Amino acid sequence: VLKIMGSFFLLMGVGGYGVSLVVEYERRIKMLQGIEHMIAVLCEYVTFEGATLQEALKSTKKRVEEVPKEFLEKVLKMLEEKNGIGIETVWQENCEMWVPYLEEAEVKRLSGLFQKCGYLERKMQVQVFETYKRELQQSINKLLEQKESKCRVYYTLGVMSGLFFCVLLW
Amino acid sequence: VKREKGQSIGMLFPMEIRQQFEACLCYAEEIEEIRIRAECPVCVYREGLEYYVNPNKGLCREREEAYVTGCMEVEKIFSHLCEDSPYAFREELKQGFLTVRGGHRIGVAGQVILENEKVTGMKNIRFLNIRIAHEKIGVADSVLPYLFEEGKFLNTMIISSPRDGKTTLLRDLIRLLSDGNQIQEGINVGVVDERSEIAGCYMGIPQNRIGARTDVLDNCPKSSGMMMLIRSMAPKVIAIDELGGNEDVAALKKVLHCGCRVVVTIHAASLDEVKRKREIRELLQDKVFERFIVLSREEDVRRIRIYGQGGELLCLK
Repeated sequence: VLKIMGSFFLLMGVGGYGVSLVVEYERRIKMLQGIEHMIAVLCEYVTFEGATLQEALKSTKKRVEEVPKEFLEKVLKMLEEKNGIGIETVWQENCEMWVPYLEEAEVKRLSGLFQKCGYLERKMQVQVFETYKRELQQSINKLLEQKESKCRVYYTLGVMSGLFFCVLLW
Repeated sequence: VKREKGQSIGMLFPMEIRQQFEACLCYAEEIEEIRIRAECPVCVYREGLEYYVNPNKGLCREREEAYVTGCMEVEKIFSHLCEDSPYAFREELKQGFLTVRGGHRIGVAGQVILENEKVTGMKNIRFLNIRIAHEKIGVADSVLPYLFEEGKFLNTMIISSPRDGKTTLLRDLIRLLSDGNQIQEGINVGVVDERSEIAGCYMGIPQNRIGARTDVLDNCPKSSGMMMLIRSMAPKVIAIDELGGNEDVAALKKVLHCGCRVVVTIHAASLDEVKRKREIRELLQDKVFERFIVLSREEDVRRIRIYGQGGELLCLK
């Protein structure tokens, strides 16, 4: 009985790890999509209202949901509290602390975004966001394309590893 | 209030430079201007006198002890004042100034970018003139009784040289008209704040007290803003700072035709100087303005002269 129960939990545990990888993968896609939406809205405010970056972030906060919203709240709070510190520093610090599910390279790219800000010409400023948005879209498309195969691999590997350990146990 | 003012001025500087100014912020209430030039000592104008900034003493008169700003520091200050978004202030920069939170006006100079002989922007900004906004509640109290006749507000022109307080007086006058005063109940006042100096709007919210019945068109050219306000907000009085070119005068005439009262300010040292201004002469000939308030500084004493429609002196303070 103990062996059966052990095998069951082993199968569930290792299989569950596979499922968790799938969930994480989906969350990563959702997060990137959320960031893409956030940048699109930010771009709108800069383009049409000519808003400063801080103003644009404030307005964007009202139009995004969940994680990006919480993240923007933290950025804006820090900007208010630590007035005098550049927006690029505040942005970078918060990216590193409060943006979950992303890979290191993705966080690095996001945190470096505001270091390319501060142009006199609005077009140039918008272009920086547009370029980043394009890169994001490419990443999202790639992840979506690979989603099915990767998820299948995660599930299969999870279950198969579980079975492998069960066989070892028996 | 003093600490708030100090904080408001301190916030104009980025964190790494702010400490150099901290000691001088105890004079915040009296500071009129801070002039920052690359590779030069920082000057502060306080009660009409020039001082240098010293990180330990606050202010000093000796040039050798002054704090000197480098090119990078000027750029950092400029970037901070623009909230790292100079593109958002491009139109203002073409005119050489921008207005920041708290209503402070920042004069900017550097290398001008020209396109077809028109100024399109500015680069290598090396000179900043921070004009501290001073909201002085109650400065218009003494002039107010002269600006009414039979309970009706009279079209008024405030005349003074730069830094003699015409915008401060206009702001307080707006507040008194809008909130109500001993002569008249509060009325709707429209403000065309082309340089964000009167209301000092930040994200559309006035930072200065301009009354509960005041509508502000911020950052809007005076010539188009006046009629926009008439059509949209139906104000009883329209307030304009620094009436200037022919377009402004033409728009003002339209406003007067609509039956709206006006209060304007103009750059000039005296009423005679105003009369010599070509654009304004016609308005004076038509006797549009019924009161003229002339602000001046005589041997460091502020003087207020109020003239009637015909130029007769009604009051000297």
